[in-house]
Amino acid sequence: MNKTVDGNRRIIASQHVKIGQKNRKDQTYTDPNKFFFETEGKAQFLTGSEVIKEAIRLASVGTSVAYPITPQSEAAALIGELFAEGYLDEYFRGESEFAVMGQCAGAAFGGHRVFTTTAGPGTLRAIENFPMWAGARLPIQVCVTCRGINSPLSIQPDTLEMHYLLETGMMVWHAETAQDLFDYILKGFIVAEQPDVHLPIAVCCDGFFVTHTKDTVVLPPTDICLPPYDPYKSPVPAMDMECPPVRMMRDPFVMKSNYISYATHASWQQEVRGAMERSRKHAIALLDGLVDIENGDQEVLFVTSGTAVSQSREAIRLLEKDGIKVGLVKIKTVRPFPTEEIREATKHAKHIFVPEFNMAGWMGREIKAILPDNERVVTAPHVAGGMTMPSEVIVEQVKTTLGIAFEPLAQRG
Amino acid sequence: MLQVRIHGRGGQGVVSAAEMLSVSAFLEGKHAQAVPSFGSERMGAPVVAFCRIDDKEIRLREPVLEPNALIVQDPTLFQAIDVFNGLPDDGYLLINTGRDIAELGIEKAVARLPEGHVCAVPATEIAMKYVKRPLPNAVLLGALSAITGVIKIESVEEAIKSKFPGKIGEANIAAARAAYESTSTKS
Repeated sequence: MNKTVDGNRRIIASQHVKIGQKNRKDQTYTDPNKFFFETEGKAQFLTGSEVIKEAIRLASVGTSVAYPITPQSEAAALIGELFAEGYLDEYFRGESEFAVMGQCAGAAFGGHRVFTTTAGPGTLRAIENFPMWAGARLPIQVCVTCRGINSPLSIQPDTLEMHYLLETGMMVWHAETAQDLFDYILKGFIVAEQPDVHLPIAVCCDGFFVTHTKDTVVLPPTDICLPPYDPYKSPVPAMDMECPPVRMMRDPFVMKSNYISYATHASWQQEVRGAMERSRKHAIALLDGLVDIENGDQEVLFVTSGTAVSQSREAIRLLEKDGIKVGLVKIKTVRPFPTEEIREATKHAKHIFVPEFNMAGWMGREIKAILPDNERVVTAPHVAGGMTMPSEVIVEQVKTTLGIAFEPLAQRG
Repeated sequence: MLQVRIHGRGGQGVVSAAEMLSVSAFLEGKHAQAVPSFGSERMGAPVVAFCRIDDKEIRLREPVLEPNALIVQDPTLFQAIDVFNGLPDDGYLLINTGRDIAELGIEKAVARLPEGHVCAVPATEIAMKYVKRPLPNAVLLGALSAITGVIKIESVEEAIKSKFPGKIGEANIAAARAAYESTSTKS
């Protein structure tokens, strides 16, 4: 677990024969190392939904399947515009999120790079397909623009749905900003399609806070693109009825109760988890680590992901004014979970706060589960159902825990 | 950091106004952010959108709770919601109305604001004259440029052009310019 990656931080990119050639839109297939590390970008001012479109423009995607649900509908529609412009081979609307994910599987079995988007109740409706994708070793990417999933109905930002994705066998990455979203979508394809990984990936962002906010994003030029998916790099035979994974769907082991059936399940599921572990070294190289650490030597730390990180950054500024120094650990990949990185980063911390945009506080539990002396972990503050988490609320939580008197926000009139 | 909250009703271009304002700041090389209110808004319902402008990188990703400037595209909202919520004593208030502040019944509420920070602009009338449609959003951005100076009128014009290329953009630019000039001479 957590192999050390050092040296020149290059990834084993696909040595696809097409590198250097042009596609039908006059974009040059570019080596990912060159694409990510040597290309000069230009600042643009876009919403998160527009950023998803711009990422897919450069991603050499074969198939995208759409189904409307707030807040990802706009992104799905914008990808339709790309299809109209000739950037994708296939694009159509599915019958439901469940159907969409099945259709994505078909396209991926057929050898296409596949991208789709969903959100909230759509994610839950789709969820049966996600462990199937992982078990079938299909490197499909779904962008999840998180929103509430509960009743009473909410279309507001809320990250609870990510918790349901954690044990599907998919990689789960969490973007803080529109820039992260752009980078993670493109880098996600490259990591997911490595032959020793070959797993689906969910690139998550907080709905509205990221998808509908107009923000500055640095984008590479549009005349380059990623090399296309190379189905011959798949570690499992494509659509072979006699070999796993398709054999296991044709002739499922669920029908049998014998040692072979149990052993096959155990080894296959272990292999999916093994592939997840092997994704670390690629993700570390491309994302520059699974976590970002700022002032990690402080006794008080915020450890979280998504826009809760943005709110924590502002809380750090407010606390500094009162003479309280706080460090930050930003979690970029939730699966694989940066266990060793977080243990190391929190080694000297006395108080670890986990602000979250959901009722369950699942990130707090994830962190508690891996740390020694986990009474140090304060799984708060939480907000849910689209409520904002003002930085002042995070500040109040820190002061309450540290026993520092303050005038509560609620009494300010 | 300058934080602006724009109030209006669905269909008045509130979200577009926040967007164009943030684009104006981006074009001047500033850091900016435009955030719409998150909901399934409909024509006529109260709508709110937000914009942040700063010289430094903006970390916050949330609606504006304490705006330095308020733009009110529909004065009937004063009776419907607490428009002034979070507005500090040195804040700016820009209202789309042809009437006096006293006539709107908000005299007491705005008494705490400094002189020159409260501005009434007949934006719908100006829009009808130039754009031929009751869309006050671009007009009010011209006036905001005049009273706060936080963005240049040229940047506003550029932002309108990028959002609405062609004739509609040109008409809106003329309307914004007219509001900018009449507001500048007043103050």
